Amino acid sequence: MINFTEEQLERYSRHILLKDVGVEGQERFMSGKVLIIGAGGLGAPAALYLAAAGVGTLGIVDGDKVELSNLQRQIIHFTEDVSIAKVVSATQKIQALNPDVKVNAIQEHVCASNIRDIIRGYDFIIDGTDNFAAKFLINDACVMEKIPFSHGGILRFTGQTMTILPDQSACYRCIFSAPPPRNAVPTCSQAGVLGVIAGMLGTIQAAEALKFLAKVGTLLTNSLLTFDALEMDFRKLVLRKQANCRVCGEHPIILELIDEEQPVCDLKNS
Amino acid sequence: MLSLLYEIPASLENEINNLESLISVYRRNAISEPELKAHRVPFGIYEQRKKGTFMVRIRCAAGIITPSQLKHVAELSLQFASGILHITTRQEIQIHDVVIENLISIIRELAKVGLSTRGGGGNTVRNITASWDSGVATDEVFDVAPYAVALTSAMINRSDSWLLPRKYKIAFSNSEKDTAFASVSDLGFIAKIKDGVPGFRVFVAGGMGRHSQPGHLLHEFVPASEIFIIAEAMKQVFSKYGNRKNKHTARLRFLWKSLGREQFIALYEKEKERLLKNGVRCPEIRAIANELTFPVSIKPETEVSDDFDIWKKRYVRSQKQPGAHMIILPFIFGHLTAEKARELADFLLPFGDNTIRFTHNQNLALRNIPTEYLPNVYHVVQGITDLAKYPALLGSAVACAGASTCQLGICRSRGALEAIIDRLKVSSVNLDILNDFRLHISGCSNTCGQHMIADIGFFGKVGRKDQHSYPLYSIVAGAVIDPKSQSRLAEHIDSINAHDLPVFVENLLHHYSERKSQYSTFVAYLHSEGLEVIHRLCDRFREIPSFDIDRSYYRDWGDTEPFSLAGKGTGECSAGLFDLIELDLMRLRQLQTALLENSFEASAARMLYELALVSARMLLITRGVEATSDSDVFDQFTKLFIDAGLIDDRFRLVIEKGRSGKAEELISLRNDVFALSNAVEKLYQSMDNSLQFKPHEWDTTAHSHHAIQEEQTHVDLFKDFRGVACPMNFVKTKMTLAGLKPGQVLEIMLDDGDPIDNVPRSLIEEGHQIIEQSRRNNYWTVKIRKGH
Repeated sequence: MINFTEEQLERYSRHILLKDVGVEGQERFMSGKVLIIGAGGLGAPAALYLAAAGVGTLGIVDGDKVELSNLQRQIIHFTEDVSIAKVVSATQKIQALNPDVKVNAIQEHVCASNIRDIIRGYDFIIDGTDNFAAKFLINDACVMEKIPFSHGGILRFTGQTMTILPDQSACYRCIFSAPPPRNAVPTCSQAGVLGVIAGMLGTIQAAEALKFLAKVGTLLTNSLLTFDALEMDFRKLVLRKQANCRVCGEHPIILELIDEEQPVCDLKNS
Repeated sequence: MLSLLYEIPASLENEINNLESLISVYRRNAISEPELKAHRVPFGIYEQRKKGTFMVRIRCAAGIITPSQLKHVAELSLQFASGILHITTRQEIQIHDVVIENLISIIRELAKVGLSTRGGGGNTVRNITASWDSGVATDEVFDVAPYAVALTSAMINRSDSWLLPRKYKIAFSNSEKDTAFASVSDLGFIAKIKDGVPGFRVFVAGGMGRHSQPGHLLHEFVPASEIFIIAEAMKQVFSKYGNRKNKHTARLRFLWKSLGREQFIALYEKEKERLLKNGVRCPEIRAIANELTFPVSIKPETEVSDDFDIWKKRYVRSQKQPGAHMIILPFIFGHLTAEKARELADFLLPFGDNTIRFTHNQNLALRNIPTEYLPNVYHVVQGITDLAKYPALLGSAVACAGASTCQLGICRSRGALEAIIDRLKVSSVNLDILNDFRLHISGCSNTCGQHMIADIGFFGKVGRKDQHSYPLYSIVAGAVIDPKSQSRLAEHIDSINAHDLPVFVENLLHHYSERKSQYSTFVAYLHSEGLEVIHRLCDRFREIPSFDIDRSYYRDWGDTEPFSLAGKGTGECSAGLFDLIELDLMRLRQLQTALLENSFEASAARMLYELALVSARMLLITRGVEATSDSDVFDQFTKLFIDAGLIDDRFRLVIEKGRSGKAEELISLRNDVFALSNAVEKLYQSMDNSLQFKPHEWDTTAHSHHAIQEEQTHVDLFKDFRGVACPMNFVKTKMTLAGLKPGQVLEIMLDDGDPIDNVPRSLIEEGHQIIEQSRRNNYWTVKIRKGH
């Protein structure tokens, strides 16, 4: 059992009060390790809330620097942070918010060659990336390493998210077998996004991470939550694990990671 | 014997003989009044406020009485009592003002016509009620009255039904409308048919009063043949495990709370099993016929008038039996004179035995009246009840006896209801669209006026302005009787002084009646705008004029004297008295805190003076005194507390300074004023229910014992969480519990107020068990057994 200090008791009192979290749940948060891939729109709120919740170890992976156009939604970065590395900016904020949290800052883009080493050892991964190549890469890597993760994506006024427990629930590839053709779908930077949508979705992902750590509630597995904030319309699509899934099916075809058509590692200058 | 009536057990005669000899022994002063009381109360005999006069409460299972029985009761009342009959909210009938010499004659006479008073009061199986329209309602599932009657016959035939920890109330409803309030009773049955088999949904451990609580669903369906075994098993659980030490936490709902659902049900199932093994059988259920009898001796009359049509609309309903009608006769407070009751009985005799029910709102319902005879009934009713000319709401409003006759009452609820009715009689509010509206008034926080099931209800308490107390009502509202989803009791909303209560009610009903078409229920109205309307109205009446400007605010309805609690409630737990003390205690603590934080001399002097005054005043009421002025407060305190040796002699100086009004001289006595206030508080903590003090044993603890607990609980860990505010005290308790194994016991200390109100409750919600909770002076100790 963790010995809580008086300050910790007070800091986390609103969690401990919860019947479903309580002392045990808070202990699980504090010994939990969560990796956030992408310190952008989704990663920013997720990182802040998980830090506030006292998650013991937070990994932050991002190879980018803060740009002025990020600040409209990436709330972990401030104006003075423009042009410094996102992982540095994020680490500073997390430590200011909660010094209890240990931060592993990884200033890299994930790609086929590095991702399995990066994610290994974490309890839960949050996908906060902004392109399909990375999303499929994270899915495949998590399935192979058997690490639960939360998929998330936003566009304009809409968002979608699902939680994947490898081998147990439908994975991203069970639903979408491969990335769409290049430029069939606009990326955020092409289409624009209402800043708060990132906050809405990132916090849902953080909530999933906390539920997973505390072992309470029902995770968003085998279902895809989508919402349209213009109508404030939330829907849950029920999904099923596919026996013929290319990565998690009975006879998987994808046995090694590959960088998809639009390699993430080449995005550095986009 | 008619299937309509319960069977008088053979043992009754013996029991009456025993009571008779006890009474004669008592009259020779050979036994004390409490000894007699212990025997007469379970016989339905209560002493009234006037010493030496008694009320006799007669059991009427399912609210049934025959015309000939009613006639007999009326004649007994004329011969031996006040000549007034009183219908209760539990479908019984009472006669009042009986002197001790006549009690036995009355009980013997009643037995002759098949009526018993056994279980009319005390810790017994009380009258078993049923929906008043059972057997005739067009929308019922089936007639439940035969079950209430059969269960009565079975339960009153067992001597252990008279020796329970507290009262045990059972009700039967004929549909989910739950007009008998089965879902808020100790044990409630609601008619249900499953696969063609008649049976019941069963609720348990509901009830009103202290810690009112809707019932919990015990069985989704049981065949009707199991009612006796269920009622008897529950009685055995209650009898064996109910709290016999503290009657205020004895009702079945407290047992449910202290045991928790699982353990409670396990004990109940065990009892059921035991009874089954012993071969307990269901009593025979005999159907009750609802048939029309056309009296040859009476000629149908005719009546053509608007008044007749309005009356029919208000009070006459068609039965499911074609051509038959039920008719409500409204009475204020359930009062009707014995002469009129006899007249009504004579009229009804030719219509058959099954023609009368008492309703839950203290009215009388006729049934099985042929259409042709409605004009006859109309003509008779005009002479019997004045209220029949008015909308049904007036007669369905309920008030308990209140302070005019009840020992516990604070406010005169009947006077208040009368004032409301007088006002509504001449008001322009369209009351006919509110005929189902439930208006209830209780004289104190005990719920004899059933305010917890009201649409809008009131209960009396005490207000205080300057030195003067005045009658004040708490407003509760929004009860939902809906066993299908979940019955909810009324919730506290605001307060209104008694003087302005009728205007308040008229205004609220006016507003509601205008908007009623927009809402499906009163509760819907409440949540949309009603609550705001109530608060707005209350704000308008919140400030009352001072005693010297308008004394009418300080006089209760129907009283000629200024409102006072003095001399009331000794020997009983009188809620009002404690309210008053608590008001002063709260002020006392506020002043202590303010003084500790404030060193500014001018205001300190004023506050010290008030602290001395409040300290001296706080407990005067327990000696039956209400002081008239500040100086009187100090004088009375000196006499009743210092001279009497209850408070240390060293405080005489403080009191003298207070008496002389020299507040600034108290500054140098600051420590003594504080010590005085603490001494008074300690004395109060030592007070028992009969208002006696034990000044030298003030730290004696009052344990609220758990029903099945070993004498000494082993404590594994102890923590002091005094001074830790909510919710951190709960956080720390959880933290500490996390280090224990399930089943281990943690003892904690908690402050009074929010902490003791909230922490144990929250722990129970999280599955832990509170095994003991005791007050120690100004804090509490709580023993917790860690749950799984």
